[in-house]
Amino acid sequence: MVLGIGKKRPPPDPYLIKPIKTERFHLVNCNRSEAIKVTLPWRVDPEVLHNLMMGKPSYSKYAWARNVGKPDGATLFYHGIVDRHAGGTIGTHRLNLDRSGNASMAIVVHARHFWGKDVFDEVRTAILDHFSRSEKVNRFYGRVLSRNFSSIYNYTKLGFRLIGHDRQAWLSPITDEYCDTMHYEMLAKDWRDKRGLEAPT
Amino acid sequence: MSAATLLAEALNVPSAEVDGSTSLSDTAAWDSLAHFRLVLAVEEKLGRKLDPVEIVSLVDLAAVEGLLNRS
Repeated sequence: MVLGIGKKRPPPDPYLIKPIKTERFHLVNCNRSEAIKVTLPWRVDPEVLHNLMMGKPSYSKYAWARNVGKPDGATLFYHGIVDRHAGGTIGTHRLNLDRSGNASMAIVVHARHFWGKDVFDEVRTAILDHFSRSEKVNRFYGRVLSRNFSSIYNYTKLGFRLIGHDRQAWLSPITDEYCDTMHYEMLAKDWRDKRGLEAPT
Repeated sequence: MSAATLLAEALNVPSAEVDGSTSLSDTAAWDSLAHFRLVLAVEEKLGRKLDPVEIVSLVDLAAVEGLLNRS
């Protein structure tokens, strides 16, 4: 295989692509064009790009579309966070799943009137409940900036384990400063035990 | 200002409601915005930015007290 030509993408996982519902939100599994559409405002939002540790201070539409990748229902998932009552997407959750069962996650709530209203807790709990019940998921992982207090709060509140701290690991193109990052993990088994969920069958 | 008072202001609750059992995990008023206010309040009180290890340590009243007393 040369340069990925002919590389076969895994088929969508019938369980993992099922819709997820929380008390206030529908978590809608997005295809590529939907993922681009719901995340497009991020490409020129310095705060979002900074907290996602992106490499540029802004992106063209084309560059952003390339950056989104190809959600395939097997290794890359974008869930639009849709307000069940008022409608409309208030944010997006992204999950990358590798062949070792590591699920790397990121969440952005762009609707600022939802900030401080426990969206992260509600959405992430539903995502963890859903994905931890798949035999393909072994471990959840998150990396956040050390001064992203909200994310640190959220990972701590959910019971994630702090596994490391990188000093000056990322140079922000927004602030032109080196930033420390924190690493968090949660084994799928530990999450199931904490939530009283059954193991995958 | 005591640690309990500082924490109460961050949580936006009366000081009397803050005690040894007040924690990030179990206190309803300790939400993400309260946590944000707490970190900034501690930094203001100490007159410096907290380092990452100090930031992640802020999970209960004892941790806030320890940080203020140590610095």
